[in-house]
Amino acid sequence: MKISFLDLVGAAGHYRTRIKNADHTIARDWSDWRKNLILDSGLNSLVGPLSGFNSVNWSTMLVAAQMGTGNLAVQKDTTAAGVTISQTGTAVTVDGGANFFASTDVGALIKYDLGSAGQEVYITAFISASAVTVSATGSHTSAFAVVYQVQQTALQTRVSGTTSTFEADVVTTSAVGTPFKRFKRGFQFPAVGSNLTVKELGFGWQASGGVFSRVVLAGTGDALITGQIYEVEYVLTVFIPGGAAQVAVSDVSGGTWNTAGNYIV
Amino acid sequence: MVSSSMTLITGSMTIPTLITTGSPVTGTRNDNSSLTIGSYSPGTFSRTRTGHWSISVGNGTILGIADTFQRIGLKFTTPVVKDNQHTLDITSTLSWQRVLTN
Repeated sequence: MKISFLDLVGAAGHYRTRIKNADHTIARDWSDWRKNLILDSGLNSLVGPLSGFNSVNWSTMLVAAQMGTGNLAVQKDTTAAGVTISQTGTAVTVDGGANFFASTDVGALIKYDLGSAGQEVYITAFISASAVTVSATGSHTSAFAVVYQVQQTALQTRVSGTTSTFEADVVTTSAVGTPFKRFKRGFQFPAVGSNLTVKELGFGWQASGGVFSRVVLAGTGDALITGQIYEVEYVLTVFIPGGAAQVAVSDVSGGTWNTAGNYIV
Repeated sequence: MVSSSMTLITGSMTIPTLITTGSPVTGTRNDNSSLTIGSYSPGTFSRTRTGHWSISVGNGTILGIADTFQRIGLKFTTPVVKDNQHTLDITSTLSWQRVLTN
């Protein structure tokens, strides 16, 4: 007898920053919470030696934070660029032949429409600034889309990393609506030795090297003066497909095994 | 790792509303005879685990199954009977993704 079932979980990260003076008074209080971008290399890192032989251990992605001065964008959208795009089959073109794509976009993810429900396709080949090939067929006309640079793997110009924290971790769970488990950790970088404008952040399993997620700070970044301390809170929310009844797929040779039933995580 | 097992539930079975630690179900456990972890291909964000029950393990009226690593409980609408003439394989696939909101 054979039975199979599928479990799909999703994750999203948010961060905020603040600046302290050398005497630990607040120089600039917490920024607003903002989204980050979880990278493909980060999702791959959830499996394997980092997190155990057969584990998908999200908390291992909150071990360290890195900061840097690079401003290589993690996303670009068609509205900001003043264009729309269309897709026929696996061919995506910029309407009117305008320039939007770059050769460095190969491996990036196009997500269509506003909200979270739009189709996602990977850019597999760069043809020109107005044309790319993508990983899955689709049909879109004069569409809004965001290109997420999920193929990035590390900070552009790393300055330092830390595993130090300034507060106790907070783990919360909720069974209301879409159940989720939420991890929050507050990282503290050592006092800077000279003036520094932080423009990018990364979070992940190590203080140097590849990151799970990357952030490019809004505006001109966070300016620190000599002796100031930089603190970052990162929240990872893992959404769990629990609660609702789900039908498992079964293959019972010669039988009629009904596997419909309640399913939780 | 205690959590790396699948189990058949016999006797009685209750599924709590949300589990983040510990066992996902209550009931009498009949752990797998062996567990095979599928290989991982980068970019797939998905991995399978297959539990195997030999002819001598897990026999009786099976109310459902639990994967204590993935913290999944699945209760059958109609219980099934496994006897010493049957082996059983259960494959669970865990997939994960980022949640993007434009």
